Amino acid sequence: MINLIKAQQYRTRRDIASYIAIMVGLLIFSMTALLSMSDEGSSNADAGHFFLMSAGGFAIISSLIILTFTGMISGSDMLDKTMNFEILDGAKRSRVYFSRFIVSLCWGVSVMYAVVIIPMIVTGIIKGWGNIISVGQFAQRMALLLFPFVRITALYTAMTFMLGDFRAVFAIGYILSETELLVEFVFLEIVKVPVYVRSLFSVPAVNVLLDVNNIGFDYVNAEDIQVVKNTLSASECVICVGINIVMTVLLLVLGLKIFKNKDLK
Amino acid sequence: MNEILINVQGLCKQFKKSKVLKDVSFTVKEGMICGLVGPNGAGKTTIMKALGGLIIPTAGSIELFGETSEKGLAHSRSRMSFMIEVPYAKQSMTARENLEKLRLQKGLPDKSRIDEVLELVGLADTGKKHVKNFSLGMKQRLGIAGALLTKPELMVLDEPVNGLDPEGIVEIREMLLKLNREEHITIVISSHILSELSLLCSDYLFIRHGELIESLSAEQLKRQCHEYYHIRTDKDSLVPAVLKNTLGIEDIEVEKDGSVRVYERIDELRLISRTLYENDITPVELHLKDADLEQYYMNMVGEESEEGDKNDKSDKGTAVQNAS
Repeated sequence: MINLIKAQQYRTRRDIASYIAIMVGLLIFSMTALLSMSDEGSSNADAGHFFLMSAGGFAIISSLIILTFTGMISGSDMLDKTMNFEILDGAKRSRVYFSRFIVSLCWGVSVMYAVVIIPMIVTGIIKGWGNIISVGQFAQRMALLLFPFVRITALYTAMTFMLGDFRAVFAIGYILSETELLVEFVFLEIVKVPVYVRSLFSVPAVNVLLDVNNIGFDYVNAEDIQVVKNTLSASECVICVGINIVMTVLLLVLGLKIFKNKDLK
Repeated sequence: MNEILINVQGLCKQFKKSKVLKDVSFTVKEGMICGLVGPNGAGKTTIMKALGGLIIPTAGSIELFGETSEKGLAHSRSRMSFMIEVPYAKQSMTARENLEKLRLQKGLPDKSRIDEVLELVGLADTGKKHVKNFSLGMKQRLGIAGALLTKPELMVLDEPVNGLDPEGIVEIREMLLKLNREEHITIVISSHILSELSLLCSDYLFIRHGELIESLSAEQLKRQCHEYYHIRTDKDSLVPAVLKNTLGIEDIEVEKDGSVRVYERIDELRLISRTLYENDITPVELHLKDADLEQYYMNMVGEESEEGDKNDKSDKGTAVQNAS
């Protein structure tokens, strides 16, 4: 499987689309945050505020970035049949499947973190970190987001291997993400949806662990300042992470089972 | 003793309601160049895909190098190379980059092998040209280069000369023959160019409507494609009677154009020639011929060949010139 991963990494590094996707992701994410921050006024434009303002787009952007790379790495190889080489070379279908999942994960998650962290570092250098969220809390949230990111990668990998056409996967994935986001937004306005229910869906699961909706005031350095307050208890956090792990496993197993019985064109 | 490298028994494949392969059984032994012969849609590519693991058979078994388990078949395929349908290549990469990706995938440590195979197939000068700008022939050559990267024990090639110019066809044929003779590589090959197959193959599998209708060696094919004398004279209508009455030859066929085929006493050219002259019949053409693969195939399946060339194999005997 190491050889398969090396070959796929080689191919992805040479694909200009990889770098276009990175630049576009960075641009969209940064623009979303900057536009939101411009409403708040430039005096609050520190890294913490950047994170807060960008959090609204986190879930959908992460879904799209991961979808893009999964589509490129798994989908295009199925479409142009270059994936067939791996099977013809004697690679078992499970190795073909998991090697692509791993490469998609590496690229999608790395790019997602880079898209978030690079602008924050730049803003932090220019404007400072601020007090709205501590570095520790930010790092904790970023670490927890790995679980829904892995689950989203598993979802799109499974869908790509099931459908065999990344264009269809991209369309379905985009509609699915937007629908989940919209439904979550509508329901949260009406009722309090339990964490375990929200965690069953990819986009809401990101928002659960991001946990930036509770803005309150703290008294710091003889001053009342706005801060992000944690609403997620440890047990709720564990439930969300656990559901993401279970969903990841289920999706990967389902996708593999279908791929193993699929005739390749 | 020649090891059996491929053993297929009762192979069936159904796509929805269509039975594409029906109970196909055959073996391929070490050292063979085995030709799959059949019209479009016969099932040749489906057989190759089944051997490669790209499609899941509905029934039957496939044994490669004596292995039947999933793990064993995967290991066996690592000793083989395949080129099926249009060669698979990343269009946005160069020939060298595509082969480098393959090299990494196969775990080959020797980078210089890429230069060797590019040289072998005539693509060494493509430089930074992307595959999307290659001609069909160049893409075929790249596919063959990929198949040769690992020095396999068995090659499965689906119409490898498709799209190549005549020079390219000869090059590939000679390369395959050399690989078979010198490197002892067994080859399974399909082609629509039956004349090419006849110059290459040691064995044939005839496929039609998903069924294996016949399998035979080149030697057996030769015996079945009877040799005969082709005779054209100034008095064709008299020839059958003269040969029958004078020499007792009964196995005679008169063709549509009036020329005569004689299937008996084919080692007695001078006798036949003298007999005709003695009966005041002047031969215009008198030579030994045999039916080639194409004619045998056409007779078997009763269909038009897709190749335009309908000529028989070249003469073996001496053409008798008009005495005057």
